[in-house]
Amino acid sequence: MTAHAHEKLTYEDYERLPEDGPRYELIDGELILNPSPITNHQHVALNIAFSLKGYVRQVDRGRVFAELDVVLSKSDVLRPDVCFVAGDSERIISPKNITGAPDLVVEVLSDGTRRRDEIDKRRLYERYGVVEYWVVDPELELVKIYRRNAANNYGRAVEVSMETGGAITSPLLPGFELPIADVFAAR
Amino acid sequence: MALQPATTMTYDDYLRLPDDGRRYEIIRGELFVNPAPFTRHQRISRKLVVALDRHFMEYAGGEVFFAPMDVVFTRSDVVQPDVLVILDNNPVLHEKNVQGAPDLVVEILSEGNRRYDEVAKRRLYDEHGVHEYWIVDPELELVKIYRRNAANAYERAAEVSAEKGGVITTPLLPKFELAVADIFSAPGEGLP
Repeated sequence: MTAHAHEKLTYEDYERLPEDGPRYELIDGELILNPSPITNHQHVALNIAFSLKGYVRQVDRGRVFAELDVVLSKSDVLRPDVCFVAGDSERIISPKNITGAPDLVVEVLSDGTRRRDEIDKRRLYERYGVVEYWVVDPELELVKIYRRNAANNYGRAVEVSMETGGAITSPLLPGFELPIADVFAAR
Repeated sequence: MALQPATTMTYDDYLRLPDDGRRYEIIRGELFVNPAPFTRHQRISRKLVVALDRHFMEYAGGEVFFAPMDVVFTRSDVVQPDVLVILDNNPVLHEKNVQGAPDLVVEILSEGNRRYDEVAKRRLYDEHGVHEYWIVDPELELVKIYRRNAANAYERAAEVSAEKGGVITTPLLPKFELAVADIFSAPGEGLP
């Protein structure tokens, strides 16, 4: 008798999870349990969310969300730390979630989730058409920016770090500039 | 009057530290203590050392060593790299330790302590003239290679990953080729 392959979960199963429980995501039908964010992770995610929120308010285009379900397919449901949906893509926003690929996704690394964020999620965001993926590394105080190239792949990431200085800018966000020191600022 | 740290350690203090299995290092006189490495870290270390040793057995030209081995850059900068290579014409190898810069240093990251290898030690190796510094990331299965550029400063010459089927090569060892996937392979696979 062969072992019974365990069944993959879908978004319907995912939706039935208790709302007050831990933070789950679904990758290729596998339920992924994420630890609660730690202090350092939280302030970095907030810094970026606030900065993007200020930008969309100023230009009066696009939307910014934190910790909202992003349904990439029935078996791939992620909850990015921060995401940005450009003005032209707002149709993917529904009252419950985002159904489709946001233009920009930001994940802040925690110890123990590096591989998932840097490899598994990068591949998913690339495959489903997220234009830019920012991976924020609080330990090394740097941000890796993956950007879709002409061949629709993420090329080698651009890195902006506290060590080298500089600011995060993006073709998706004309006029936006986030100094790297503001990403990691404690206040 | 220049500011001085309250106490700085020197190599003499360092030699009096206990032999308790932990790794003691001093950088700018500051003591860093790291626990003994985990199984996976040691397996990767072995595979690297085996690959480098095979290279030198076949082509000669240098020697590979591994921790614990003291590398004394100055009296207040003493470290124990995971893996180090000293080429034949480099006079730093002494009976008790290495005095000066190895040609190549490799550090294998430990989760939760990445900043130490990625920042503090990179700066140290850069400052003291190590030609190449490889940072092995077991979690992402990749190797970052820092190499001196024409301006004599480190630059990220390559990031070689198992994901992309990368192969490590270096101008220091012209015939050396190492598939990154092999150093992260399971016991019995890839390399001994």
